[in-house]
Amino acid sequence: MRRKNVIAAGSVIMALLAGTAGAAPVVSDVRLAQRTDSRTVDISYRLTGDNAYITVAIETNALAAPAWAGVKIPDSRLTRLSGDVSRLITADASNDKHIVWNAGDELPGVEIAEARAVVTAWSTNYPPSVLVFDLGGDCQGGDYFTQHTITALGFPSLDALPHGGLTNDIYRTSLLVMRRIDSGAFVMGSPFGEPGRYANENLHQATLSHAFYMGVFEFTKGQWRRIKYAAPTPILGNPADSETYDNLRGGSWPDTNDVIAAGSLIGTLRSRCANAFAFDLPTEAQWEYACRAGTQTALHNGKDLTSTTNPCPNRAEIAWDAWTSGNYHHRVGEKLPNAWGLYDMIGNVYEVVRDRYQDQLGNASAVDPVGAPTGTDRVQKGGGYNGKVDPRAGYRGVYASGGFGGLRLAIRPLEGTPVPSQP
Amino acid sequence: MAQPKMSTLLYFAALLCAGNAFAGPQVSDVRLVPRQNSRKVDLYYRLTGTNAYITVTIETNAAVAPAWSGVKIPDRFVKSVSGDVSVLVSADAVNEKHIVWDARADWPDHKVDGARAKIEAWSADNPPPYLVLDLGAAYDADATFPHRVYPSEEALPDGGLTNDLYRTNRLALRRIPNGCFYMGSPTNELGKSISEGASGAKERLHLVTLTHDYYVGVFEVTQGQWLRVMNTSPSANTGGTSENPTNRPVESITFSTLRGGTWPLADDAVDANSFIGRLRAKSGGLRFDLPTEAQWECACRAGTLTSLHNGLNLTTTTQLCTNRNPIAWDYYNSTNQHHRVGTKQPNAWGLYDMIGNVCEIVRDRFTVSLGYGWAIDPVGGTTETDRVRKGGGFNNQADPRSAVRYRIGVAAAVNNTGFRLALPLEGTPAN
Repeated sequence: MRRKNVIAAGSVIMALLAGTAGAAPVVSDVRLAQRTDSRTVDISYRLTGDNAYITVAIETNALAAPAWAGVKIPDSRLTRLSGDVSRLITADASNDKHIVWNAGDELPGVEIAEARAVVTAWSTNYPPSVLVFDLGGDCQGGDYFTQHTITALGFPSLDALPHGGLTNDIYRTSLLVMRRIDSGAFVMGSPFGEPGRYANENLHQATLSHAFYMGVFEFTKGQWRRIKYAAPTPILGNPADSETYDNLRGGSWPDTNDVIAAGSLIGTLRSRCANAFAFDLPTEAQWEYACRAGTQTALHNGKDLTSTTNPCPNRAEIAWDAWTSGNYHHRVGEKLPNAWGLYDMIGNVYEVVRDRYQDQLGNASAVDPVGAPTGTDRVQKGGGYNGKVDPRAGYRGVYASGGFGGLRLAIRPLEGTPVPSQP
Repeated sequence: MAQPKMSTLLYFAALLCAGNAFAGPQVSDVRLVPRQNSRKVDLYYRLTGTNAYITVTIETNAAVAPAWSGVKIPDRFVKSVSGDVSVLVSADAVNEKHIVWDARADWPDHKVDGARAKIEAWSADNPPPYLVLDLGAAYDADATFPHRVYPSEEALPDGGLTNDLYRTNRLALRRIPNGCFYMGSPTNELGKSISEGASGAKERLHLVTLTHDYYVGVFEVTQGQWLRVMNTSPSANTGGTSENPTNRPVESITFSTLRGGTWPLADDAVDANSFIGRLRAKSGGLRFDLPTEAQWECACRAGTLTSLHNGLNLTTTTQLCTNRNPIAWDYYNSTNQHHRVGTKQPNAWGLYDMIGNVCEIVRDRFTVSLGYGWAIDPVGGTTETDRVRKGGGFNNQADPRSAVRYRIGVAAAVNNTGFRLALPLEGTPAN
């Protein structure tokens, strides 16, 4: 159930929505004013009904009610925000909330006519499109692990991330960026004739009936240290690697009684954020759906592999592979992302997914597939920096226990976790 | 010819009638005219739209329009300027503004070909990088404190910061950019456990975002500056015969006489008779304040993550540290007293004595831990009455580090503790 209420400054619509108060967050009384002798803008609003993640947009040259059609200032020009924004804000019927925007720094030399604020409240079971988890500044141990609860900040888009956005290494170390992937259907696997195709990549349609979140980057060593305080090397912006499935997740997926190992990376992450988010590995189908981002080619940029025995220029622009990597993994997020803004889905490190490995996924359409019911091996996807054949969207390999790849985090659908089908 | 610099100005539906009142400053009709039989140069321009701070640069060997690419004369050679420059100039659609540049004084024996002036207009809410407050030659109860602005440190007149005028009669501040930095220290930083053990204040490493620019004093406030504002000399150590006490940092002052107020429990109001209250009243409404703890540490670090702001770490707490010696007066090099401000090397943003000399009281209420989480425009604690001091002092061994923080009571007057001034740029909150 989507619960997202948008109210514009000075709008009379608020009276209508206020009537639905109950479990849903409601924003009202949005006001916007520039300070005296300052380029600072104050935005105040009231939040009732339920706690919510708050994001804000500014529209300019806005028409008056009831049309309200304005031109939105790009999110990348609305990042110098402080106050009651981005975080999970507590509903309060009697006191105003307050956001401060440094407009002059973000729009120098621009005059804005008839600006108004649009404050959006996102309920906890339908958070904003981009979630940033604050893993904390320290990575040295100490009392950090008992003193710091990991919290989420919500942003309307990747453009809205402050401090230069994803180019800033804070998003590879202290912060963890996850983005929403909407539900949908796609063709999984690869066609006969694709260069390098293995026999276990049967083409079939898969449907994912719930939205989920995927990490924008492969999970890094710096992030690992902030959750578990152990890392094989100090190259903190590079992907974590050489981890066993039990260290990453454990558990007995796809059993209905699946319990994630408490001491594993994901078990620790869940407890460190007070179980507010169901972190997990993506399922194999979620992974490939997110990787392909609508494409059906061998590579997620809409191009095919030209060769498995020589450098492939189509792949060089998006992936670290055997021809481009110098036989080592690289800082995450240096190659071009896919259409949904995910980096290094192909190449860099193999990414282990949640499912148990089975040799054939069959040709039949599948809805929310959960992988093999038994078996000790897991599936790995995406290929790695040493791959010539494997770095393709359709590749699926065996991740034996004591495996050698990295991972990308996902968050299970917040509308409820689908019940796995029983064998 | 003109290069106007406008700030963002917004007007809203509710203020639609205000219309033109929100236009930005506009510079036009800039002319540069060498005087006959003189090496003085007259600069003329017109300012319309809104009032603005004006700064000027001169370019030489300039190509004609539309290229206009010239070689800029360094700011230190364009300091003898007078007239409608460096101050808040009133917009005037009718009359020209006039600046006189004494090129002979600044640039003897140079012939300048194809010179042209560039006039920059900075709106009142977006002033230039350096702001200098004039405290006058001596204490005067009725004095007002005008201020002048400059585009860079080297544009400061009268020899710049080497001149003790800036330690006594004048008070120089520099603008610090907004941004994001790591506050606190890693667990293994040398000296951290000593400081944390003594005071109980945790230096937990965390991300901090400051969304607004602010000014910070280039120097610690001196005894001479305090005297000109307060007409008192509270310092315990007025110096021996070797140094002029007026250019040494003021100390043994209390938070109450320095600022007062209840921030952040209420707005940023201060006690009217405090140092900062008087400065605000006498400087035409500039909203001076102490830096917040986060503003202080961001300004101190100037981009560094190390325990010292020169990009180096402390190597020892039991003897003179060769990494700290060039930038700070500490236990091992100070002979147990503070010194003339600005004698050691500054940090990358041109701030002196951030570490050592005297501890500096900041605005925040003390709280043991600032946490590990990402803090955006943090305001510190809300329960205690004690405040925070930063930077360490001349008699400290482990404390003079960027991250150090410890408490000081609002009525405590300590001979190793002074302060540094700030000027936030958020503007006045609307009621």
